[in-house]
Amino acid sequence: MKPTLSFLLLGFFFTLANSIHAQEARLANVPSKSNSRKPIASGPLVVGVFAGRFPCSEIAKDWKYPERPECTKVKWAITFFQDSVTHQPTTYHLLGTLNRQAAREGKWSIVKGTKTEPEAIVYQLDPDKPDVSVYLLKGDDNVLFILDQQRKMRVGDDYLSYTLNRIVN
Amino acid sequence: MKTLKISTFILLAACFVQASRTSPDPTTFVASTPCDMIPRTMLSIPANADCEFIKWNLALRRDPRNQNPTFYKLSYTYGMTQPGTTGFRNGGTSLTKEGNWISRKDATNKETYQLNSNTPETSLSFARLDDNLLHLLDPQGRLMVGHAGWSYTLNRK
Repeated sequence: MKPTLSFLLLGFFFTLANSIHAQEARLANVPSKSNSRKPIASGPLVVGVFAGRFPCSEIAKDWKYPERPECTKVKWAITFFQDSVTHQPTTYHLLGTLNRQAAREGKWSIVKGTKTEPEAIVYQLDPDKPDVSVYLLKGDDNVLFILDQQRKMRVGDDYLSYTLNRIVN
Repeated sequence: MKTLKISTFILLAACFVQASRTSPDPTTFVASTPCDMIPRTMLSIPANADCEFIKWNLALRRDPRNQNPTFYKLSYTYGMTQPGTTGFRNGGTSLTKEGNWISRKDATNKETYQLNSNTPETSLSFARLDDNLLHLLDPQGRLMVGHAGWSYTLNRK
């Protein structure tokens, strides 16, 4: 990922994070539009951009971050890239409030199976580093669920869920 | 006297049976979701209401004898965010819905919970993701898409 693109994506994400409450009510069940002044990544190289907020403690523990009581929620925006010809997964770009200093980047792949559904489609970030992989269950084209390291569903609370939603320009 | 004893016994037995049908705690799911037009319609929230998000508390009861779905109670609050908190400005507006619910499985064995299935205009459907998670469906049966702030997944309390 070129530094310029990283900078643009980082700027987009933190604008997005600060404008969560400015979302307008949508008339239909379609992905929400990004409120960022800068367009989000799109085109044949991009599978999609997914964003969401969820409780902090579990992910911080998985990422081996020191426990911080003030960390109550995490915001993520993940861009999935693909080969424009074969449509095979290539790289991802994860911007989040746990890693404000530098985006997390790497390869991603599509694997099958959760703890309870052997045929489920799962996106695995960093398949070459299974101890720090992130697993995302594909609910459909617009919704992803963040799984734990055993590929089980994570349970949120009355304010936040472990779900990412597609956003568009 | 004997008649009185029998009547008392029958009354106590009836109370016991009724209590045993309703005494198990319901399974409760909670969430905060966006306030888009589809949930507004389902929850009778006025289209012009100031509403950034909805807090849900869905209690599902089953018949303890056979585990069949029976009653639900949905308590929800909507309104504008109170900055710096997870609550609502001025407490929001709170409402409840109650009725019957059913569970059905499709050809691919995916399970759906439906509240008020006999009144389509106010019916609510959820995909059962597992024992602990439900996800609101739109009228066409698709997963509702949230945004960067909130999603439509309900979490077991």
